[in-house]
Amino acid sequence: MFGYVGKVLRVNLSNAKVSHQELDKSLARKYLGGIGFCIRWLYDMTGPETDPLGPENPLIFATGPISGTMWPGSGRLEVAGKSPQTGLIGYSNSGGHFAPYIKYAGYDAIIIEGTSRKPVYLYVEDGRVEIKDASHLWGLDTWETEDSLREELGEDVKVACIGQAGENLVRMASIVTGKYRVAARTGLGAVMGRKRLKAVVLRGNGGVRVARPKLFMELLDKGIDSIERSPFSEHYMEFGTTLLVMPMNKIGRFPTKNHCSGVFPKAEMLSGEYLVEHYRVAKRACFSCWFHCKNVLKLGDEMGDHPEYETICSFGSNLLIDDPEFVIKANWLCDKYGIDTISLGATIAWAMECYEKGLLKKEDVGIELKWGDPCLVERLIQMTAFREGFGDLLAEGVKRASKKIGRGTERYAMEVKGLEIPAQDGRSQKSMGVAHATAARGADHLTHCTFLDEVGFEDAISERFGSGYLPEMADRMSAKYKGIMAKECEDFTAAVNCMVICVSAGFLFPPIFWWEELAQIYSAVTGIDMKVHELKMAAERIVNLRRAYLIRHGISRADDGLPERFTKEPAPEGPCKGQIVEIEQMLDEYYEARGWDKETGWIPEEKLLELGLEEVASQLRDLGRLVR
Amino acid sequence: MLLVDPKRCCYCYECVLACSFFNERIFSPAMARIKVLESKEGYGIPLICLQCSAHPCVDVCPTEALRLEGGIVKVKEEICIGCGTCEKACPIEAIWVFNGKAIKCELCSPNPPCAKYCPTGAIKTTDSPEKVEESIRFIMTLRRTS
Repeated sequence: MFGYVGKVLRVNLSNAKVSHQELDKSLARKYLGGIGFCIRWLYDMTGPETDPLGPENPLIFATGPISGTMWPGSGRLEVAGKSPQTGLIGYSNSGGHFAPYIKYAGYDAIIIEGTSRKPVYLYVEDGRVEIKDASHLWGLDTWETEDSLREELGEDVKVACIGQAGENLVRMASIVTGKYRVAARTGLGAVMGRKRLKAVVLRGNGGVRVARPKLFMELLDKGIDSIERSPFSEHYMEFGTTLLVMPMNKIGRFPTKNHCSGVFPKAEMLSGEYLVEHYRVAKRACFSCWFHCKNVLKLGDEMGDHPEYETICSFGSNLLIDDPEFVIKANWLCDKYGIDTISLGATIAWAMECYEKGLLKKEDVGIELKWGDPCLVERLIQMTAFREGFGDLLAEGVKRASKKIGRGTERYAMEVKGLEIPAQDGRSQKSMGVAHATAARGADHLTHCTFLDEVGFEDAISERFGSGYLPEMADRMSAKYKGIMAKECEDFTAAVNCMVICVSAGFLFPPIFWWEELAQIYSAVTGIDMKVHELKMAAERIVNLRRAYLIRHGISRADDGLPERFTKEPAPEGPCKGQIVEIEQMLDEYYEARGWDKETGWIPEEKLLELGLEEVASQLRDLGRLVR
Repeated sequence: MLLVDPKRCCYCYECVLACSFFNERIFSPAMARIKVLESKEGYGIPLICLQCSAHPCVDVCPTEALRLEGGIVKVKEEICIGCGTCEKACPIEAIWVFNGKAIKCELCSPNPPCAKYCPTGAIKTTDSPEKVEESIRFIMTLRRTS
């Protein structure tokens, strides 16, 4: 096979059984790779009866056909398992250098099942697999673990590991690769921790061959040229996602004080421009990425990557903190302990607001909570990682924590389906409202990547959807056509995450490549002629199977909602003052674009049959959740 | 000649992939004639033969498998015994043994793909031997501290 390695590694930690399976060629054609493989495998291997923290929950590390090639941004890793945070399908994507080495070491994906009795790490080198003792690593943070493994095994190994948060089954625990690149969302670090799997370590001397090398290089040269010519590239290469701080604050979409507002008066102190000017010592890229969007920052004796936009909001504006050095430090601390910055920031913001409103008392917390206090937040991060005191409650995430406390605190829990809301506000950018509400993994901006109305990409909308959708689709304050945009961008994002390419390497942002280019790259690499309509159908199949997974767990339209803050509290200030999210209108449009039932949010039989998902239709029929 | 400026290296591996692809028709860091390591300063260190004037690798090779041809050190694979003596002699670790044979950059073209596909200008071509020597000294310092 070209592009694909053709092999899947399966490891069961309960009985130390290792097996090497052939990659099913029809799976490759129908589910492409990356997230497509993950969703198919999770659908088949887990269900409502699966305990996310039980031995039966698999942890999957997947690559795609483009991984390990020279295509810009093709170094991304897809990690999946049933989420301990949402109890639904969990998936998370990370940059870095880990994913290509799964292929160089001989596999398209690694599926880890079972639970080890003692701490172990998995060592994979060119098809040779060892389950090794990790008792000397247990208790170390992710940076110490990485350093220690590299010292032990050589500086050329690639490491994905958990920190203390994963070991302590913190529900928002992340998996960290190469110290700074993190598969953070949906708590898959806790799944790894439950398996007592401290790390996966790779060394690979293999490679990836492409079917049509000449064509691939022509596409690459053209692609690099398009990237260089895009008016957004230069700025993005300089600042990465931190470039968003100032423009998002300007449009009232920089969540502040637990998403009360989208305007933070001191945003400038947290901006990418400020960080680069005061702390940058070097540029850094993920594997095979032309954009090199990361900045290495130095603070005193310590050095590491910059906080992403999301983290700047989570530990900055959303907690009313304007200290850039604290945000840099909080990001590193979360990377070291292995915690999702989005989820922890949102859970702390909930606690602050509830404390301010008198719903949480000092006897609940043990300490006094107040906004804008870096020392306090640092302490809370630590307490969460070790489940100490009040940290034990924060470690459960905002949905569980607010349910446990009750007393009306649920109202201030900014989450959807159990996953905390990231750094957007649907009141100032309507498409983000429908994205947060319908994303399968819970509140998320990266399942749909509806970036086209962020700052009004009229040209891209015109090219991709047609000028008939203007001006509303480009208008961030208009709810019209946002369901249609969400459907199309969600399908495209799924296809990109199958390859696995970074959504921010010219696919979803900046808007440079679209279906045509993706189909050409796939065909050149694999030699499988993939027409645009076939690629779109594969993406739709994956998205519908992911929805079917949720429907099997009882999810319906009623769960595709938003906190009342977004639907009933008008934005208090900024250019979107007075706006709310017209969620029902956008949901109707989204379901219609998807061909789903508007009343239930379920999938009609016809749609599943059209996508070749007959067995799924019959399962949903047995559950009484199939629309005829 | 090639010139390396580690301070510009963002550790993206595009040079490594370009090298393996143009030489071996495969994307494989292991088969490339260039390696990139991390420095303690945050940037990468591309390790590639810069065709230094001292060429200690040629001097120590016990079988004369390493030869100078038009100013470029080349490996005669048939003669190389893979002993690794050259590996130890190179001041910037730009030659190593892979699959039993020494492997190194033999400057594949006047416009080498590693330089062409470097997004930051960390690898460039130059006519100045002084700049190359300076770059070698800097890489040696970096490797000592990392």
